[in-house]
Amino acid sequence: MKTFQLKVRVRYKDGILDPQAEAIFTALQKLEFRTVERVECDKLFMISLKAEDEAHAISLGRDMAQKLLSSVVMENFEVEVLKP
Amino acid sequence: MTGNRSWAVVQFPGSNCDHDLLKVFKSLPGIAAQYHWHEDPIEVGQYEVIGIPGGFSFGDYLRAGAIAKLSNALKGLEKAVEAGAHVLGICNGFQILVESRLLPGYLHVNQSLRFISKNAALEVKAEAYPWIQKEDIGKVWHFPIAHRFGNYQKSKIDALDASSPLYYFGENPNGSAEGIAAVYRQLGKGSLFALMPHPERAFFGETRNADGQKFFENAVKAVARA
Repeated sequence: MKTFQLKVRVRYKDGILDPQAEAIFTALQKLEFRTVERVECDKLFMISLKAEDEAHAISLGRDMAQKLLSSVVMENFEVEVLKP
Repeated sequence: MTGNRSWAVVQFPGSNCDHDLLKVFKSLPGIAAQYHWHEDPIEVGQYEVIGIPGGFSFGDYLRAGAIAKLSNALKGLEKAVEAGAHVLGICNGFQILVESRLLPGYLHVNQSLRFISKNAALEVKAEAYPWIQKEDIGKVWHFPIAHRFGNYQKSKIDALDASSPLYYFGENPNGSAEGIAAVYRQLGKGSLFALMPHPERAFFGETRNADGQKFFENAVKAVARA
């Protein structure tokens, strides 16, 4: 078993309004960052874990995202292994 | 305990409406009410009614209700309902039930991004055994609301058959789809009823209304007749 660093990013599905991102977008406009076109607020989980290999680490990360880290009805997720 | 019908209020770390709900349950005729700690499994036939109270279970960390759904008490809930238990999820209880996928949809942050605490007017639009009777349809009840994540939205991926017996009347305080304030699902011999407003805070009259009395008394009478 080797140690891997996982990056699990959780974000709202397309079509789900994010009032927090809208509020931040409006605030950036007030600060005169007028070229900002879109803001998204994602959740990022950095997880260290032991696994047989990279594929196993990703499989465990996906399982964690499906069971807990994301809400299947409102969020999507991406799992990535960070290179040492 | 004043009766022989067993009702329970599930307690999680961070629950803060558990005392209010238990006080209401205990005041109902014939009901023996008790707390049920979240680490203890709920057995089939153990309770007639199971209340999942408001609050901030596990600090609302990750998402409201996301950690509480993993508790032993929740693991046995579906079987208990299928066998005849009636679950009442209030506020954080509603969030826990949608996180556990026992009810469809999801609860997003309020459209205003603000925590809202006020009395809300609710129109009764459908029966929901045992909590809402046919005679209640068309009435407007007032229950307090106090939440930041109460913006109920439907989900296309949910196939659960559920209805919406209560709607916000007049103002939609949190941006919920169609103004939905409660979701109800019959499951086997039991049911799940969840709402963001607090009927237990509209029971003893301190909040200038006692519309919750009818809501709870309906359940006492309806389940007794079953």
